[in-house]
Amino acid sequence: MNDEFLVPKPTICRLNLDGNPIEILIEENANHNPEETAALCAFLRAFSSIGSLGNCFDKKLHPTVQHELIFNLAGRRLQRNRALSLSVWPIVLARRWTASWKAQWSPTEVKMKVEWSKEDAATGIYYLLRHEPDLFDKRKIASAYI
Amino acid sequence: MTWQEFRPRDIDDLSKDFIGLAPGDRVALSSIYKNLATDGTNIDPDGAAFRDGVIIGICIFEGSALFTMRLDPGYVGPSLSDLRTETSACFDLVLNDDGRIENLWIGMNDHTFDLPMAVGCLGQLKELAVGKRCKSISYQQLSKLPFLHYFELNSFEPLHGIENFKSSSLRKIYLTEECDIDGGMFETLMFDMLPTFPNISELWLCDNNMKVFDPCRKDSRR
Repeated sequence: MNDEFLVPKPTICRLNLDGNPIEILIEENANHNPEETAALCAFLRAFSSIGSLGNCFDKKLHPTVQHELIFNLAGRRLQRNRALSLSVWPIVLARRWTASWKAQWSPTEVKMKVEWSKEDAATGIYYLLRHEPDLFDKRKIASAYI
Repeated sequence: MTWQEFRPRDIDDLSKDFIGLAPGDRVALSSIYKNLATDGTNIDPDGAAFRDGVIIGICIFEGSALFTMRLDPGYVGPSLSDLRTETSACFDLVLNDDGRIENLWIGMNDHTFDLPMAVGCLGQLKELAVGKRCKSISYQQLSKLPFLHYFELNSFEPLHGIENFKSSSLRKIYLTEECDIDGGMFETLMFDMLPTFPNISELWLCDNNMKVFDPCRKDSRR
């Protein structure tokens, strides 16, 4: 199944679904709906800037949804940016590891701080490394530093 | 009495009824109405702002146009806190230190929303909320608001025509539970509407009673 939407992507980083029925369906519980979860995961892959679904971090999301959010937070959208220089990647990776993800919401809302654990950071970094083969292309790396 | 005829001298009369109100407090619209439209004219003030217990700004709907005025143009003081409440009253506003409207909350406007003739009053507008009876919005005029970053809708209908809303300042759109959007609307929103806002960062769909992602799964554009 092709998960990509052939449309321009806005830079939306937070889709607040608090209170929607979808919340229950994507949590790891008895009401979990695999179809809805799969649809949401495809959506998150398409809108790769979305790193938050509201206060869902407070709840136990289904692992597949959680992973998609972690990958988005890690910087999945950078993969589409082919112009990103190889020399930038160390900074990207370092930031993924050291920085907690702090959400700066609207001034009218309570500021939220969303921490992600070392395990989440490692998962996100692993995703980036695995899906950025240029990082392991010695010829490209060599040419980048000549 | 028309809004043009409303003079600062009337502040004294108005404030008598509002003594004790703190900055940011609001008052029932009916109270303002009684104070303003004493001669039975068809003026329906929809909201007011206070500073130090004195009414300093007021909004009046007349037809589909919104008129605003400042009552103490020389006053410089702390910013008013957000006047928004969950009461049934239909109009709130927040003025900044210059007396200009910064936040505007329109609750029960059943007219086509139109910016005021005095656009300068809304030039600093940062937040705008429109009610569920609002049928349409002049997005071309909204585009003239360079600082608008928050847009709240309580009905999906006004979203039609939003492609005419050229705003690079808009950061957040909130479709409340009143919008009752379905999956098709969500699809339109995500794929057709949001991409027109280059700096949008948040979409709030809190408490919308729908299965949001069901139609996306079937979307032929995937």
